Amino acid sequence: MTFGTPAAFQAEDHGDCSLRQLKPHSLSQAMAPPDASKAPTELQCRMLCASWYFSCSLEAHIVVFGERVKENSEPGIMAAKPKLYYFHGRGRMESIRWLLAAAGVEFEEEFLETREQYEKLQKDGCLLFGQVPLVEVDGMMLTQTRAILSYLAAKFNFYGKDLKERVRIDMYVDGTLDLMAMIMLAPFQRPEEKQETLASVIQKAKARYFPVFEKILKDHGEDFLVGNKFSWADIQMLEAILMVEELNASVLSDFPLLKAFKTRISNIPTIKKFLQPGSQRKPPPDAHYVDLVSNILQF
Amino acid sequence: MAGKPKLHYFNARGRMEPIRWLLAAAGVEFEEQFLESAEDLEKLKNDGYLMFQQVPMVEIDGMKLVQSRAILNYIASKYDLYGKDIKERALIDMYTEGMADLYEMILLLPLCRPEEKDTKIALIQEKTKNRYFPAFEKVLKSHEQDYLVGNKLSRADIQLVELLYFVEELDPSLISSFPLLQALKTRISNLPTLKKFLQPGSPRKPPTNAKSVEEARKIFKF
Repeated sequence: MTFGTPAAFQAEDHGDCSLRQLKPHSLSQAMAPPDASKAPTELQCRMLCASWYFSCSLEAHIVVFGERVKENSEPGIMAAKPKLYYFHGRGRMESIRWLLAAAGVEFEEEFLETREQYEKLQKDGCLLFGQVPLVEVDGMMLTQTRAILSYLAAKFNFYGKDLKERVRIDMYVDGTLDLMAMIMLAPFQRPEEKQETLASVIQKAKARYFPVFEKILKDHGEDFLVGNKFSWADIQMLEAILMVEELNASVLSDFPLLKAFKTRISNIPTIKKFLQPGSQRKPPPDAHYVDLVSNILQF
Repeated sequence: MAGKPKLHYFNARGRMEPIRWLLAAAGVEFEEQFLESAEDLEKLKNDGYLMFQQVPMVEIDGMKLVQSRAILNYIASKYDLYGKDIKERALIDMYTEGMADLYEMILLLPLCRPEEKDTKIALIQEKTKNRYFPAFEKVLKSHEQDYLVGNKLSRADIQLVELLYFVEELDPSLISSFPLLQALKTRISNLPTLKKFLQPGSPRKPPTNAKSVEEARKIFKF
């Protein structure tokens, strides 16, 4: 899987903007604790972001990174890995990690640990709306979870073969993400509200969401949710199933096809690898994570 | 012959309004079936028309689509309002997701408790002025083109202009320091299809009032 674009093209359009993300990084570097000396310098980030926003014209910018550039046209320039900026936890970035992992794409992560780091990203103009998740990929500084997910799904051919398949994937994913949003919210609520939310999650999973997907699988009898082919819908569904099972281990007891689906998708090699210890999958949020995020985002 | 798309919702803006805007901008005529009672909603559910028991639902091209994002994505693709490739689509998505976040805050305002209202309005004003409007102004400034993405009309422009009208209803002063947004609003409003939509008698719905909220509470039981 190749990423990024020849540095020469970018240098041509953007002066000496050093586009750090095009340099290959080893996975071990990515897994090491963030090192201040390796973090993008303010100038680099500012130039990167300035180039992204204020280059000759946005259209030319897209053309540079889009049609005019042939992948692998510059020998010796290694493909850049996507880089994820977020807290060291699941939150809104986890679905993105799943998608990248499912595609077998290595990625780097920079973990926000202080308010200062976060403010720096904001000041450097990397965050269009001042928020993370942020993913640097293919020369873009993408924010907004769904924008990132949709881009990656299309890029990895996880988005169906035509518009009709795509809309089905969108519907299934949106429903699943609604369920997951409730789970994501719960740790940040007061204890009484949290209990209510979690109870509601289980109730909705069993009464509203899981029956739909059980029926979809039953009606077509295929291995995957859409188009008899592994797609974003399957990845999102598995992630959701595992998250709900963490709250209530027997939640799939009335859904035999979803149970079989879970096993089947979990055994896809890239997913199997992601589900093993030592992968970049993050653990469920704990009190420390909640404090960290509350402090950094100041709420 | 393909029928017109049919929108199922109650007679108010809510989560269906951006869909109305997009269809209207694309010059697509549509029908609407309004839910007027809790029974109307139950019937749709019982007939198996609502995948997740929720509206909006749009009947289009032989499908019963639910989830506003899925519906908007479909319409935008079908009517070529979604950029020319996946990179343009990523930018459009990033922009429209930001718009949706602000839109949601204003959308939910009528539902908040009276004692919270002033705080929420202040938050909306602050985010509009310091986070959202500057972001879109900066995008327009960066390329100085007439449209947000790819020098071509896309859903991003239509959804932004809808948002600008929405914000204006809350506080007309917020757009005053954003000349490019003002220019975009004027330009997009003058597109023939949207000009028509902005006139009285179109399917555009009026601002939500207390009566709408009561109706929603009755139909959706909350």
